[in-house]
Amino acid sequence: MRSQKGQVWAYLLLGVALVGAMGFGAYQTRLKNQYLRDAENKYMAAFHKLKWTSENIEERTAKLMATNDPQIQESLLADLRVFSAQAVEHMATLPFTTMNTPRITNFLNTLRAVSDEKHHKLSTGQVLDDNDWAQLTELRKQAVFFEAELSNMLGLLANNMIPWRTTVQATSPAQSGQAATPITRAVMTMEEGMPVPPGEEQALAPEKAELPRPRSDLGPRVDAAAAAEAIRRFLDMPLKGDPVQTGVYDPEDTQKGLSLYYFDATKENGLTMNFGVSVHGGHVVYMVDGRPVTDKRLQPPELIQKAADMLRRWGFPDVAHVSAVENDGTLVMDFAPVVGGVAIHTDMIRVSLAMDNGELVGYDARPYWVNHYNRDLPTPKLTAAEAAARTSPRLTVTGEPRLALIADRRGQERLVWEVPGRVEDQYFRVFVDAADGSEVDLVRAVGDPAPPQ
Amino acid sequence: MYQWVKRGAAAVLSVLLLLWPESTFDGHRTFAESRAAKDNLQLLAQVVCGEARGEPYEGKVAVAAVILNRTLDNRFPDSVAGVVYQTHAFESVSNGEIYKNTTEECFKAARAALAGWDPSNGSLYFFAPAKTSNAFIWSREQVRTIGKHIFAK
Repeated sequence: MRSQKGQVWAYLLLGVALVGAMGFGAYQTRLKNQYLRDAENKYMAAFHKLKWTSENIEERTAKLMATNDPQIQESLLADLRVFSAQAVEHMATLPFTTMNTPRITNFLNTLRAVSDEKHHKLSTGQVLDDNDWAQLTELRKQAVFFEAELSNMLGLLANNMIPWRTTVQATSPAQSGQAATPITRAVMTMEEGMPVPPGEEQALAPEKAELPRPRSDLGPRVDAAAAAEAIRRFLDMPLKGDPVQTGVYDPEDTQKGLSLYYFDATKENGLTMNFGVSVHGGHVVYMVDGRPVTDKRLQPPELIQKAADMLRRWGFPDVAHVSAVENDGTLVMDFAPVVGGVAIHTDMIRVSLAMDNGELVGYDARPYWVNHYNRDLPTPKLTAAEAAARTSPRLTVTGEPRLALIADRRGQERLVWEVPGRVEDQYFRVFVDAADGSEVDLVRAVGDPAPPQ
Repeated sequence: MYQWVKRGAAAVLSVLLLLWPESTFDGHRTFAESRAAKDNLQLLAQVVCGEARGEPYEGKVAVAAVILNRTLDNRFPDSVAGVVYQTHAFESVSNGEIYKNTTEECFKAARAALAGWDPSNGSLYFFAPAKTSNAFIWSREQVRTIGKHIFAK
């Protein structure tokens, strides 16, 4: 009797455990399905956004072909600039990274660059010529194809029979191999069928990032030993051993960009610093030191003075201090070399000093060594006061304007008056063209997405 | 009497609250302290740790610089988050490594990159040669090697 009772309890316990396990399993399955559904929804949302963007691109390019009004053209081009950027964003959200789609990528990039260029042309009072329209016509053909193919894909996807999951899990061989999915096949069909503008048939790989070559001769080619010696002279501090070469970029000048030796040097306390030294002339181009700085004992004015002294020793006798920002216990300062009373912002040199002992922890003169050359600087047609008067009535001018050479948003060098000013608690530097008084650019001193260049 | 004390206290509190933003604003808020930079900083530091944990400091700065270089290139999304969360772009995002412990050195490297340092020399890609056989990534022009990563354009 007792053993029967014991068996009942055992069965009951087992039953409860079984039901519990089943319940837990069902709950987990529900959760997993929910996650999978959420992921599918995320991709579908991104795809619909891409589709919607492509419809807008197609529509704007169609209207652009039909209108003769420069203002409407300008507005349509501004829209195209935005929609092409959005399309890149939506493409990035979809699991297409494993597929090689240079034609699609080139189409969206070119659309963005061309619409931006033509928009600028119209906004500066120029008209679009035959070449411009030929370029836009080619882009229109691509836009039509792109939109139509995405429509076909939408038909494939919208019935919800083809999940994104298999494509998300796919790796590089998926584009053509056994692991291909209906989605990868559709994308590759679109890639292969994308109309290519005449002359760009071979442009199947995305262009490589272009690094500018130095605009002047930096000096004779030096060997690694001379570069190591340049580091010693630059630092003026005892080192533990010799600087050790860790690499070299383009020593034979076959590629674009600044040819550099890379070095590590070790301080006496064992901390490592990294250097880039130009192959031509053996100039120290950059230096970075990751030592932690916890104390802030030194104030910005004395560090700015110290940095200016260092720059003098490194061969930059006349520099204008442009900005200083605290960054992680260091003060990051920008200096523009001064030529004939003009601060050359395009040749900016950045120096970072530790706020605990004033030690050099960062240096970057890449803009100087790439952009510097002997310029014939124009004479300003406006006075400082006239330039200040051209700024916004809401801006309170807080200091004396000074002459500067800056690159505008299209990379063109412009002689400007740099006018410091304030609107409420926000500080700005407004750059007013010294020839025609137009505002070329403005930099907010607080909270800009990047320190001023 | 008690009401007057309460009103007085409320008035003093109101004045203090009004003055508070002024008293904390030092007039020299820096780029690194701005909200936008902080938002980017956290995510950048996470990816740096996810992708370059155990790499030298310069390699960490270079990884952060590659992400920032991508935001400036038309082929990639314009924001740090857009680049970082691009599907399959970073292994550490796919496998969750970026959500593990983010060290102070990763933050420091991210800050250095945000302040403009770029040891990658303008690179848009980096990869560990021991781990990948992807033909596309090997076809890119290699700029330099730092630690276990090759940086390429």
